[in-house]
Amino acid sequence: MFSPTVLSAIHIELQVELVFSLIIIAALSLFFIFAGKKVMAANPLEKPKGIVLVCETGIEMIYNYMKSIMPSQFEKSYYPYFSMLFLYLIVANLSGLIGFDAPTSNFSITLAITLITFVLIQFNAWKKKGTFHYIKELVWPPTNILGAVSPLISLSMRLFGNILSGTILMGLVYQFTGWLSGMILPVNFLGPILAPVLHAYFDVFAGCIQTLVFVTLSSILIAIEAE
Amino acid sequence: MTDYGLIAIAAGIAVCAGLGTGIGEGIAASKAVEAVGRNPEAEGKIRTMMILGIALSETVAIYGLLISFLLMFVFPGMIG
Repeated sequence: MFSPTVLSAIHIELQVELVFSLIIIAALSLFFIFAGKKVMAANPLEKPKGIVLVCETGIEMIYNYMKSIMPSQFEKSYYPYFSMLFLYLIVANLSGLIGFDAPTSNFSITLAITLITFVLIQFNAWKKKGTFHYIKELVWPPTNILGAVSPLISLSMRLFGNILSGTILMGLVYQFTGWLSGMILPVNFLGPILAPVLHAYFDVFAGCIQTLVFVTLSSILIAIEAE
Repeated sequence: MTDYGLIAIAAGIAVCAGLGTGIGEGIAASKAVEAVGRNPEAEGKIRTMMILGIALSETVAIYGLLISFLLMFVFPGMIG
């Protein structure tokens, strides 16, 4: 199908963010397999403690949040997806703090996550309207096609831009403090003084807020199409 | 002027997207303060909504920042 020249032009490389993403997914899966075993073995009549308590509190928090923004027919079937999204995104956004390249600073990953939401939005619209009305409203007036594709771009770009800008600005700050302190000593002694405040803003604050915004927006978009 | 100087000017202009965002975020915060003054019990809810709204409107500035990053880091490599 492809001529050899086209094949040789395709450049495949294993990006480092994808490896970190796989590591995060594996760690989360192992944790939840372990937690699931604990929950299965726990006695429901006793007070939960330790890891069981943490899981129950987290699940209840996300469930209540979903209940407050989605119509009732959705909360049961969709809250596992949103709790998965929430956990993965928050761990991925905060992983910049422990020396990972945050996986969400790679556009492939944010685009992949947004594609799942996009498919869910379109599927719910199709289920609600029926095939004929769905296609009719999608292509007429033709600007509706743009409206259907726009969540894909805006959601993925929002997450990607926020995390990437934090990463690049932190890189610039480290370069600047290195240059400034290089005038006095050959060690970057100003960096550790200035950087923690900015790390707290760009990594922790922006990461948590963007996780919340992504989950909220995708749930609202899914609910709006189906109403 | 060299090519890189022009690209740097373009990157600076792209970040002007933050102008409107700053005004909008200020308006959102002032309205939130008014709302808390009127109804102090709802402070937690108002704070969450304000942060959500601010994060949403901040996106426009982030788009401008992305364009300027593209201009600074990707574009010079493309024109060689």
